[in-house]
Amino acid sequence: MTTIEYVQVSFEAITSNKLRSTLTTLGVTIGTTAIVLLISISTGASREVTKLVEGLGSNLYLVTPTRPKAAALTGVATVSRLQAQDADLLQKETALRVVVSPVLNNPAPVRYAREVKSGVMVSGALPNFQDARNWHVVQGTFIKKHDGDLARRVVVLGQTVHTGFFKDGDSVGKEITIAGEKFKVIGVMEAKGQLFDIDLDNQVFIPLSTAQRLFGTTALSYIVVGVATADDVPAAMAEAKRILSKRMTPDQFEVRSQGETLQTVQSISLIFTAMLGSVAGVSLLVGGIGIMNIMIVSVTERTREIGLRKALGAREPDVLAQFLSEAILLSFMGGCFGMIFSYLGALGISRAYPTFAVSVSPFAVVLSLGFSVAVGTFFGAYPAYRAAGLDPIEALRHE
Amino acid sequence: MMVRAKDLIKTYRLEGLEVPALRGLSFSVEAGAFIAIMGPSGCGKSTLLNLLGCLDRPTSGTLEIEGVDTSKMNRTDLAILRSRQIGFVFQTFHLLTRATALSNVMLPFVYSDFPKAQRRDRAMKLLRYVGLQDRMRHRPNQMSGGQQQRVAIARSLANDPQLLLADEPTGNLDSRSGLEIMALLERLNREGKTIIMVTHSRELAEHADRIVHLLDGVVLRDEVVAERRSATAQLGEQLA
Ligand SMILES: Nc1ncnc2c1ncn2[C@@H]1O[C@H](COP(=O)(O)OP(=O)(O)OP(=O)(O)O)[C@@H](O)[C@H]1O
Ligand SMILES: [Mg+2]
Repeated sequence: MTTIEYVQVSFEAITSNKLRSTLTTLGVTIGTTAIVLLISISTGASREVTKLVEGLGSNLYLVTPTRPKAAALTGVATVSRLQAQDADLLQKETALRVVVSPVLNNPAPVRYAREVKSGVMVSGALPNFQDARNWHVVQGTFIKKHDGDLARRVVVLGQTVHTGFFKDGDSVGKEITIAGEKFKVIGVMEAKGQLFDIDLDNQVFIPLSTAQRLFGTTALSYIVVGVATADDVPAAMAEAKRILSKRMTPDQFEVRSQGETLQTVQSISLIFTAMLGSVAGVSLLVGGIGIMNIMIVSVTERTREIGLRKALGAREPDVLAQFLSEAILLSFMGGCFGMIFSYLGALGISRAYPTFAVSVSPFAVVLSLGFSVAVGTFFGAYPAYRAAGLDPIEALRHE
Repeated sequence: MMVRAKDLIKTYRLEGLEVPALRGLSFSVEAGAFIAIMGPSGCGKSTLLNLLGCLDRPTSGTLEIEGVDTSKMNRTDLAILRSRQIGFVFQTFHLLTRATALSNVMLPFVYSDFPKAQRRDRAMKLLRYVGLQDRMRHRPNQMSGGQQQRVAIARSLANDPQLLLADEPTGNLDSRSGLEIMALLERLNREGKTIIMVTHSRELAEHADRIVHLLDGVVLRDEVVAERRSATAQLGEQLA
């Protein structure tokens, strides 16, 4: 008997009892759905983490005033104890080769001609920001030292602001209005992309001194410190904590690298993984037992058929293969239903959280279909073995 | 010699109790013979037929089918032998209820090396042979008992075996349908098949050329039928 014949015979047997077969596959359906969603969500999460790492860069760390974690990256101005002296102290006392760059963030309305964008992040920065943050201009120039010395009203646009205002892509030399004051555009930053829900490119840079005057504060939002290599980051962070403790108590500031953010994201996705993983495991187990149960019933119901097939020349491996392939096909069908549901599930998640791109990966599909086949094989083995071992005469006599 | 059985003993074990079904039975069947096996209920007719059909192995003794000793064969070899050399006809037909007549006849091909491309043609030819050219797409529950038994006979011929074993093939049929089945068996016998049939009816047994009488698991008497009945002729008379 060829494989195709086994599949055909199994398919006929399965479809002759549609409701029963569908109910039997339910466990495997849920299990495989969970597997695919599990992988899709965790790859989605790790993609976010990758973006995060790319967005932040691995060879830098941030000093922020203590505040809720989520706000740390956005730099929403709160009462901050962090001052320019802290940055100076850090730069002066460090034994390592680092670039210390203080930043003052404040959201403000930005206007060009008739168009107004509110909530644009206005960052007061020093010339060394480019190197510290590893974020560079693609057009024009970044803020120069004398721009800061003279507290000039010059601005470097993030990509979103640039493309939003200047459809022709020609912004350098134009004038825009920030918080009611006119600024001259001197450059455009390279695109940095999304960080979770935050568009990093919806940001403009002005000299730190200008920002301090404009917003009437000297408190910093954060200090970004560029380190020579990623390996030096832990040492540099320890050093920063030590140096800054001279001016502040440890609970007034935080020193964090992207590694910690990464951990947070990873621990969240780990919880997800554990949850869906146990759902998958339990459903596959229950599904497998269901398949075993229905296969035992099926073997009993078809005892005479088995006897007949044996009388007509079926060998034990033939019967074994027939019932095993039926169990596998049943489980595989559950897997296929699971693929449909997980596709719909991924679609639903993507709809609900547009920034969290969940896509069903081919790897996940192959893996969970593989699982469904494995479950069918494992739990179908015993019923098939029982069928194969039946005595033909007694089987034929079975009522 | 188609079948040569020597000192066949078959003992069933039932809850520690030994139930002797055959107690040293010997007999042989020439190729092309039509044998009827008779005897009271429980004398071992079905047991003997199951051994001849290689569905079971004797407890002791030898059984040769077409010159090959089957008493020591393993189960796989017995299965192969069944598929190639033996055709079964059962009292209760044993057709697959969900399958059409055609599919039922094609079932044995699945377990033999019969060329795929020729299976359907061969099955259709066999159904025509048993007179069911109009019933190929019918399922067993859409056919009379006699028609079902004819499908079963067509199925038994699928792999062109030389030996046909029939355990009370007409036991579940009315006399006319039974006679039609007998006519079919007679015709197959004329065309060269060796047939061994178990029956309780003296009348039906007289269609064979030999009657083997069993009693308590041994051959009581081996009788050559002096005046063979012909089902074909009887059916002709009934029509006239
Ligand atoms: N599987 C079995 N286990 C135990 N005993 C059995 C088994 N099969 C048959 N027997 C016994 O073996 C003996 C012969 O049985 P068998 O079925 O061959 O009789 P039979 O001649 O075909 O009878 P009948 O005309 O009623 O069909 C009986 O005594 C029966 O009880
Ligand atoms: Mg019997």
